[in-house]
Amino acid sequence: MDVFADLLGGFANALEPQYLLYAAIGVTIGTLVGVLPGIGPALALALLLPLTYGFDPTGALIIFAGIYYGSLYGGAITSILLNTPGEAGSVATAIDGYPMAKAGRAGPALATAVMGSFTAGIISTLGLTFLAPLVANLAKSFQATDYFALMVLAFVSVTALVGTSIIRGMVSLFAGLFVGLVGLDFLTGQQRFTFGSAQLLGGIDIIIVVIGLFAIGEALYGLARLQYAKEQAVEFSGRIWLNKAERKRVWKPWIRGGFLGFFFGSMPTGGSEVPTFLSYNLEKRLSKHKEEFGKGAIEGVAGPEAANNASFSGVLVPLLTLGIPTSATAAIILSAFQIYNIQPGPQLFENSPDLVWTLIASLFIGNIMLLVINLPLVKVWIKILSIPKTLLYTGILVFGILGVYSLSGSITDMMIVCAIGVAGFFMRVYDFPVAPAVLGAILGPMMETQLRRALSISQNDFSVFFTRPLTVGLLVVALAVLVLPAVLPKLLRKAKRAEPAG
Amino acid sequence: MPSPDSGPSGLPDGSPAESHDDSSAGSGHASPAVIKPGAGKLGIKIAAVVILLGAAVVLFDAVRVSINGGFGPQQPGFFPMIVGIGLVGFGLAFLVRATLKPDQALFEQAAAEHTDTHWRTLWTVVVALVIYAALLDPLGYIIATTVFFVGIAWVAGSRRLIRDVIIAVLFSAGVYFGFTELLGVRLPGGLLETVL
Repeated sequence: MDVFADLLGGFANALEPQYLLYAAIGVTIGTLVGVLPGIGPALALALLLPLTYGFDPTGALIIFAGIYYGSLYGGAITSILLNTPGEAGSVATAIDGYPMAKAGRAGPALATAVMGSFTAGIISTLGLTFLAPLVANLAKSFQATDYFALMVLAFVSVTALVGTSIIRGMVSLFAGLFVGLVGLDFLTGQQRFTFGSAQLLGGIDIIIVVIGLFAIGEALYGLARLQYAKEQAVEFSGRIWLNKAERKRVWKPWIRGGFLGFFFGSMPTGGSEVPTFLSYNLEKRLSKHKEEFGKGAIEGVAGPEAANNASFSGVLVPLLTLGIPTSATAAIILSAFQIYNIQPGPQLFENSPDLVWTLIASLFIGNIMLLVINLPLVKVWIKILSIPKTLLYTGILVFGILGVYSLSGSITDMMIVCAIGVAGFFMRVYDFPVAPAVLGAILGPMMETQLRRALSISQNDFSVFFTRPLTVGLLVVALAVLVLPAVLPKLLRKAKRAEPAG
Repeated sequence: MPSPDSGPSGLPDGSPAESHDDSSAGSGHASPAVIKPGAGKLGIKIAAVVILLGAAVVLFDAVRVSINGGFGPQQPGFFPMIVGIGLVGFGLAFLVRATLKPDQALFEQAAAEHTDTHWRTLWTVVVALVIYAALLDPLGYIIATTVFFVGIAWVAGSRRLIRDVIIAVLFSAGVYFGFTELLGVRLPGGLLETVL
């Protein structure tokens, strides 16, 4: 089969000794950064982006894949030992991981996380290998209206499915759209939302948004609470490996989590929050040990952590084939692509097959590196947790500013990142979800482009959005996602109330 | 229900602090056990007002773009108009949830968050961060970062000055040389330009 030949070619590239070394370095640095409390994969990639400037595109992408997997695993360590998940995707891991660690079973919890990540990573990378070329082929027939509808669906689902309030989600989304629009309109050259500042003409880089919201916002949040801090790290001791009873309980959750993560990751919803929580609930429902959930059930770590890892390869499907990043992590990777003048989309598989297949091969390698390097080194990583919090958050602030400075050296950018950081702090305090803001800032400009393209083909006739079946289908799904969560509980309650009466 | 007119009394970005600055700031381990039910109410209202003010500015600029470039759906002002209207609309909805139809879950969360937040630390760090960013070029990376690092660690409650200074110097020098020598990213030398 074609796919195998392509993949083998990718492995031939990625298995060069220097690239293997890069993958190992990436995984190590990624874990090192990801293990810091509050730092998840997206932020780790944003902060470490400057490190890749000196490499060739293939090398940079391999390091990137390594950093991603490393930081994901690092995040699992902090979730389990400190109960401070760095990103939405590891929240579910902490629910049962932290109680396990408190009960002296941190070792098995971490082993489940890393081996589950490995299993799921292989499943979902295989999924990517076979699905991506198909979607790329299909995407060649996509038109501007379809892209527009896809992005509407992405916006609606991230706002409605993530977070607790649609109003606050929408405020967050529109604020992100606003940030995305700042700068010169590329069609007419008109200034939008620049407020007379020449520095804003080029727009606000997505890296600045991510560093502001995640790094600066998170560090401010941590520092402001430090005076009243109460969280305690759990001592790590005992065995690391899983015993026979545990092995029996975790392998099914790994596989189910892998499939869930890949499937939901590749949907326009993107991200890892939905699949991880679905996986948690699924495992709880299927488990023979329901009473253990919330108190340290190993399935509750195995499933979500597998789903978390698998969702990444899923997110790469729309990113590589359609050029649509559906999560903050994907947006950073898109930025990295753009540094090397690579434009993801249906043509990517034809124009730069070497690069794509090397990237996919490096995902497999990154997963294997994770298993060989990280599991034996658990005790080393845990040492990092003993860094005093005061120095840790200060360090995050310094790295955040460094990341922005190395982008442009512009003082305006640094002021913007401070402002976004303060906004991020208050978003956290008043429970505004940040994912919609990030997605709005990334996809907003793309959405506008597709809207204008569609309307220029149809000569300002809006009916194009209601005549193409695919477009209509996507828009209907978007409407359902928006309306059903609000309506469904009421309908169900009505049905329940009707039952005893009728 | 308290009327929201207390909002504009202070500076918009300074006033959330007023609602909760009564805590004994000196003692580092004063862990407030009880969540004050009133905390955060004012903050939510101020947040709503700030969102609406921001939304008004966005809408205003969108109208300006539209007047310059035309209101048609392919013109540069079309999408900004949607964004401006959306922000104002959802900003108003949030204001309603903050005042007329209070969102209980949100108020509870805000009360807990406000109780745990040490506002003086927050604003000190924000001001220091802005000054740090502004002085990075004139002072140079190593000096500015060292001073910032030690200062913030102190503000955050670290009292081991000598250790912090040593770490700060090693850290900033390490980053400086690593980035300029190994990665080819230029960082400002500043006052030390002639020495480095």
